Order: sequence, then C-alpha cells, then structure tokens
Amino acid sequence: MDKEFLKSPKYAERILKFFLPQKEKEFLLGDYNFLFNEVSEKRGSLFAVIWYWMIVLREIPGFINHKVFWGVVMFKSNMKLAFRNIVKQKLYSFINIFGLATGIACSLLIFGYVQNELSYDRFQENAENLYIATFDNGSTTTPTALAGYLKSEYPQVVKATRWTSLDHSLITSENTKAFQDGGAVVDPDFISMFSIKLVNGNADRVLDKPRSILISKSMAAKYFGSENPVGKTLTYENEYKFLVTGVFDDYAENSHLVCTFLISNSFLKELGRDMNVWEYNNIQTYVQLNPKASVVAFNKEISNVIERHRVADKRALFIQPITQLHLNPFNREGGSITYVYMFSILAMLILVIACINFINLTTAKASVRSREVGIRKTIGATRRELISQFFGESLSLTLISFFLALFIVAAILPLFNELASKNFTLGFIFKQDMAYGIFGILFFTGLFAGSYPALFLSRFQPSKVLKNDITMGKRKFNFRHALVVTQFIASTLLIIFSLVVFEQVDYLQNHSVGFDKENLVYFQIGDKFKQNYETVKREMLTNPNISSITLMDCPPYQWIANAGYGVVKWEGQTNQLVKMVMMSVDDDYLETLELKMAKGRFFSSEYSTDAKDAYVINEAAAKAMEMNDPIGKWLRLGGDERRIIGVVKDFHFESLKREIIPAAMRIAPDWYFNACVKISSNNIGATLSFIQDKWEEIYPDYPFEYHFLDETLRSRYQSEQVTGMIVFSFTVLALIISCLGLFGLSSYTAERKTKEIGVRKVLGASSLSIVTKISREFVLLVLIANIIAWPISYYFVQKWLQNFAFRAPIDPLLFIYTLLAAVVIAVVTISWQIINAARKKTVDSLKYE
Amino acid sequence: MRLLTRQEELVLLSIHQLQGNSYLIRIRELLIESTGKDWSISSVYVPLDRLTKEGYLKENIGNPTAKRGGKAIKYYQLTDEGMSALAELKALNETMWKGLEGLATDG
Repeated sequence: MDKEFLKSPKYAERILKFFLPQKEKEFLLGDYNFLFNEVSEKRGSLFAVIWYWMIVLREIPGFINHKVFWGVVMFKSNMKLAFRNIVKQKLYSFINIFGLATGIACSLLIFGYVQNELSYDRFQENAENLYIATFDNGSTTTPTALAGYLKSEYPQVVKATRWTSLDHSLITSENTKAFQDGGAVVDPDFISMFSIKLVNGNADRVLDKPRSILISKSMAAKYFGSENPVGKTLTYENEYKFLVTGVFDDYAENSHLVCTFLISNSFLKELGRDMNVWEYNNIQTYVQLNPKASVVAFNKEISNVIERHRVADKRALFIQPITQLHLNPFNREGGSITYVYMFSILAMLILVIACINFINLTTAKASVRSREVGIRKTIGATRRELISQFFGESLSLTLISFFLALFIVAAILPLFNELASKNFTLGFIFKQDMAYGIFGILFFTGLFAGSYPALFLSRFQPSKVLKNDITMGKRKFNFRHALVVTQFIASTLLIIFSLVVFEQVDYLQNHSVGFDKENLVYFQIGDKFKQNYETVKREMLTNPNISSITLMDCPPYQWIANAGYGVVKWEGQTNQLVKMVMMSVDDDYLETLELKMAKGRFFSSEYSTDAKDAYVINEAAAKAMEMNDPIGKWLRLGGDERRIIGVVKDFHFESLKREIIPAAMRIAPDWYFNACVKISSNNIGATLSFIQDKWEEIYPDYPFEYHFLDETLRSRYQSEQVTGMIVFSFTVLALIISCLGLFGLSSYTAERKTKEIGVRKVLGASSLSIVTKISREFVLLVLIANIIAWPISYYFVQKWLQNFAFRAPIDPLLFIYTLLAAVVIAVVTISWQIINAARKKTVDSLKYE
Repeated sequence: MRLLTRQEELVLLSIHQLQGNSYLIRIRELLIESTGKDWSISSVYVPLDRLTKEGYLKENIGNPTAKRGGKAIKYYQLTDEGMSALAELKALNETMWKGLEGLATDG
C-alpha cells in the first residue's frame, strides 16, 4: 500500500530554513519532515502542525548560537588572512590604506561640518514654531508696530518679539572697559521664545524694569570676574547705566542669532525711537506660532498687513521658519545650503576615488590571488565563504584606515577650523549624533571597496585558474580602465572647479569698482564728532597726507542687504515701479571716493539749495526711471522730494555678487554715521595716529577703531575665498590619491609585462619606445577622462557662477591647461615604474616567472 | 586533543552503538531512550557538526524519501580518530572512576 506522506508546514519550514546552517539545510529539513510525519501518524495532522511550529520556535536559538560560534571562528581566520595579505604586499597596502585614510578623514571633517550646519537653530525648544517676518523681496527689516499687532490680532501667534542688534557697543563696569559684540534689544517674550537659560534671576520679570540688562556667563566673567554680577551696574556707551538683573548660559554658537547681552525695548523708546510705527522698517520681528496653527493659512492672512497700514507698500509679508535662516534663507544672498551640498559631494568624490584605488589594485593583483582562490575552492571553500573573506579584508583595511584617519583629522583640524571658521575639537567626532555617520562612512567604504574584488575574484573556477587559464585583461578596455577614467574624471572636475573659483575670486577683488578703493580709511562717528566737524575737518586737511574727508551714512561694501528701499515717485512717471536705495552723503563724497559724474554736477557748498533740494542719482537709477534728461526733474524717495542735480557714473557700493541697483544720494546730516578719509600711501602709520589724536580730542573715552575700505571689500568675498581654498585642498587630495592608484596600477602593469619588455628588447626595441608604448595606454585614459569631464564641469561651473552678477569669463584655455596638467601628472607618476622595468637587464626580464 | 564534552561523548557512543544506521533522528531517539531527557534536534546537530568538522566523524549522503519531504538523509560514521577519541575517553573515565567500581544506582 502506497502511503501518502505529508510535507511540513510551509511557513514554519521557511522560517526554520533561514536559521539553519547553509550546507545542512537539506538534511536537517528532511529530519524535521520525518519527525513531522511520525507525529502526524501517531497524533493526527493538526497536532503535528502545532508540534512542528512549537519545535521550530524552540530550536531556533540553538541554531543561532551555532551560527554565531562558527561565524566568530571564520571571522577570526578572515582577519588573520587579511592582515597577512596587508603585510605581504606592502606597497599596495600602503597605497590603499593611505588613500582610504585620507578619504575617510575628509569625510569625517565634512560630515562634522555638514552636521554642524544642519544643526543651526535646531537646539531651541521651540525651533519648529519660531518664525521671522519677511517681505517677499527677502528683507526681514519690518516696522516696529508689527510684532505687537500680530500678537494682539492673530490668535495663532503665541508670542512675539522685536529684535535690534547692538553690535560693537562700548560697555563699562567698575574695572573693565571694552567693546562688546552681539548685544540685542528685545521684547520680554524673547527669553522664553529663544530658550534663554537663566542661571539666576526670575525668567518672567528680568526684562520688565527699564534699564535692566541680562548678560551671558562669559560676558559676566569678562566684566565682573568671579563676582556675582546680579545687582551690579554696567554703563552703555559711557552714558546709560543698566542694572544687571540676570545671567544666562552662553548662547549656542550654532544659531543665526548672536546674543551676549539683552536689553528691553523700552530703552529704544527712552532714546526717542517711536516703537509703534508702520511708516518705516527698522526692526526684526519674530513670532512663535501655536504648534497646531497652519503656517500657510497664517501667511495668507498677513500677506497684506503692511499694505493695510502703509498704502503705497505693495510687498507681501510672510513668515519663514528660523531653522531655514542659516541654511536657506529667503533672500538674494543665499545661505550655506549650497556649500553643504557642495562639500558633501566633494567628500563623496574623494572617498569614491580612494575606494576605486582599492578595487583597482585588488583586481590588478587578481592573477596572484586567483591561484589562492583556486586552491581554497579545491579544498572546499564555497563562493560565499570567499566573498566574506574578501569583505573581511576590505573591512579590516577600512578599520586600519579609520585609525590613521583619526590622526589625519587631528593634524589638520586647526587648519580646517581656520578655513571654515568653526571651533571643532577632536571630541566632535565622538559625539553621539556623529556615531551613525561614522559607522555609515566606514560601512560604505568597506562594502564599496570590497564589493568588486569580492564578487569578481570569488567567481574564478578552480580548474581554469590552476591551469593558469584566466581570461583577464585581454580585452582592450576593461572594467579597471573604466574605473581609472572615473577617478580622473573626478580629479579633472575638481581641478577645473578650483581654478574657476580662484579666477572668480580674483576677478571680484580686482574688478574695477568705479571708485578708487585704495587708501580709504573709515570709522564710525557720533553726534559729538558731527558737531565739531568743521574744526576737525580743517585740522585734518592741514596734514599733507590727508587729501580729503567725507561724512556718510554707510561706506560702500558695508551696505546691509535690502536696507533703505523707499517708495519712489518722480516727475514724468507713468506707472513703472522702481526700487531705489537712498544714500546720505556730503559735498566731499565725490572727491574722496574719486567718483565720476556722467551728467550735471555733484553737491557743492556754493549752492545753498543743495542741502534741502538736491538729489544726485546713479546711472542705474536714471535708466530704471527711463529719464533721458534727469537734471532738474523732481524725485520723491520715502517722502523726501528733491530735484535731481546730477547723475554719477555707476559704481559698486554693494558686493559684486549683485547688479548695481538704482541709488539716489542726498545731503542729510542726521544720517551721517561714518567718516571716510582719503590718505596718501606714504607714512600711513603716522597719518593714522594723527587721525587718532584728533579722535581722542573729541572722544577721550572711546577707543579709536578704523578700517581700510579695500580690506572690507576683500572680506566681502571671504566665503568665496574659503570655498576656493577648500575645493583646492580637495583637489590636491584627490590628485594625490588618484596618482597613488595610478602608480600602483602602473607598477603592476610593468611587473606583468616584464617578459614582454624583455622580448621586445631582444628584438631591438629601445627603452624609450617601450616606455612610450606602455604609457600610451594610461595617457589615453586620462584623455578620455578629460573629455568626459569637460561638459560636466562646464555645467557645474556655470551654475556656481550664476551666484554672481559679475563673473569672470570662462577661459577655454583653462580646460586645455587642466588636460595638460593631468597628462603630465599621470605620465610622471607612471613613468617611474615603467622606466625601471624598461631599463632592467634583458636577461633578468626573460628569466622572470 | 581537545577534551570532548559530555554531549559529544554521548553522541559518539550512540553512533558507535547504532552500527552504521546512524542518522540524526535515530541518534536522537537513542539518546532520548537512554538518558530519559528530551534532546532537541539542534542539541544533537550542534555536537554532530562540530565533531565532523574536527574529523571524529565522517558523513555519507543517503537517498531522499517521501517521508522526509523529498530531502536527502545524512549518515554519520566514526573515523579512526573518533575511535581513538573514544578510547582515550574510556581510559580517562576509568582513571577518574577508580575506587567507585561497585557504585550502583538504587533500584
């Protein structure tokens, strides 16, 4: 009688199968199936199914234990093998480890940088609900009445505060007198909105009383040492006394706000500022929304708030999250997100280049390793085991490289900090939120570098390998070549990009700005200086090294983005709208900056009407207003109507990243905040101390602080310069790693072709012809890489240059130079090995193998 | 030579007793019968595998049957090393049990 036998339950079997040892699945499953049938014969099939499930679940831990035990044994042996291989092939191991270590070191630094950039403002408890009021043109300067209005009229707004920076304030305590940066005037809500942690003092009331000040711990240490500052007095600008009511923990560096001390807005009122007006914008407004409120709906509600209170202003208002302010602010200057992307890509490129080295060198060595694989397979190793062996090798190399990378990071950290203006310590790598990243980097590197060798080498068939019958490298263009090309594409991209960045920075710094920026010294002034100005000016001009002096609101390049857009009306206006910047200057502005007039005349003391009824506009303004003959026409800017008396030739008063925007100048002594002195290039030190003496006659209590305009100008392009430096360092690294790889590869080629070289020489080839023949292959690869890299780099370079209104032209020669440089570097790298091989004694070459 | 565990010793002895008809299920049955304890499949398999890897046992593959769900069977056999391991164990046991030859269980 034929008996029907049952199959064990499908899912239970599948689960069990997963945990069984690889080679034993078949037999063990058979055993289980046998027992299953026994049980079902005795107790029925339903019981058997339950029994099977039970037994499967009960037995799995035993098999897991087993697997782990043997896994550890295998792992140990793989590690041992890996280290033996590393020691055996010193050159290749060095190239691999050094390359990977550099790659990992770069990634670690960049990862830390990116992490830090992304963390901006996230630490605040209310980070998700804090917003800053912004106009649709990107300006965040708002009317003083806005904060209170939003808080009282809209239930979604839980809290609101205004913010005015007090940078560079002269602050005095009993025993210290110094400038303090990063102060702010705020509303009481600020403290709870922006997670200010008070060390002592009552959080609700600390800013309620007029003339109270909160200071940070480090500021407390600066002014009071170890004494308790609460209840003590600080004097602001030699005049206003403040009572310290609280001390707060130093504000985190990764915030768009800097605050070292806080003063209540009631102080601005005391100074005579109207703190409840809509007419003009001069303050920042932050709001905290109810977490449940819809931002989109709120934005719709407030979009015409300004227009409702100030009819002419059509700009829409909205709120943007503070967490995006550092990375991706809504304005024309752009945040650091571009750099975050750019640097991440750069780090990836370096890491990939280093991994490619590993892949290339391992596969190049394949003929040696293939015999090992053949023997292992013959003895009984499975492909899976070989794969794990090769991964073990790559992972252990990665691990060694990681430790080396830590040393590299430690060594270059100071340099990096200076470049990126960060304060990283080695400890930042071991911070908890970095752990995943580091693990990810290592895992990626190990797997990526090990993947191709593992899959490729483990595929060899023992019978063929041991007979020396492997068909590797016979094809004209193989995988290894493709990888070398990839490496050189990456390097070429980097070279071209860094050259363009340098060229652009150079262009920005040396482009004609439309005025003479050399030897201009400027400094901030106050009312007292203005009152004594006539005398000061006369005295200053007696010095032969001072050619002129002028007062103004703001020197060029110190312009704050989007400041001073007023409502513009003019004679003959149809219905175009023009945005215009207003500058307040005096008669000597033209002469001091050496500007040129295009039409009409500049302000002059000979015309008594100039002080009240004269504008000088720039060419951009004339063009924007479509005025062919502007002289004598009236123009109204922010309520101030005057006649145009002249047109000045366009000059760059903002960064060259921007187009020259329409501007109008007027005489307005109330708005002079800076003085600018043109000095001669002789004896600058004496001239400066002469100016300082004059300054101290007026302000005996204030230290004299001055800047050179050309330095300010240069510093405006600092981020571009830093980018250039960073890209350049990456380029150098990428090149070094690529060349190391090429060096290893060529030494391998030379080794493999030893016999061929010998034969060629016997037949009459010269050393030179042999070198040429072998290097031709590599030069070809570099050529291909360059040609592929050109369009790609052109695309990226174009994209980057679009950040600038004024760009350096891309020189086609640049690409040719890059190509030449790459070829030269490649040839120099490989020729060393090949010349060595070609010069070997022919007899030795022929005896080889 | 590594000192074998009690489990491994019992497994080796069962294989010897089963005289060639020794596959996992029979070994397990014998172990359950003679020790009176429940032996899970994994607890039999683990010593079997280890002993094989160390060369005390060798394997023969038998034919698949329907009762086994169409899966093959694996027979285990003592190698010479396995036999000498048993001999050593016996010698060791005799030394260690000296003076207790008359000891018997109750009942």
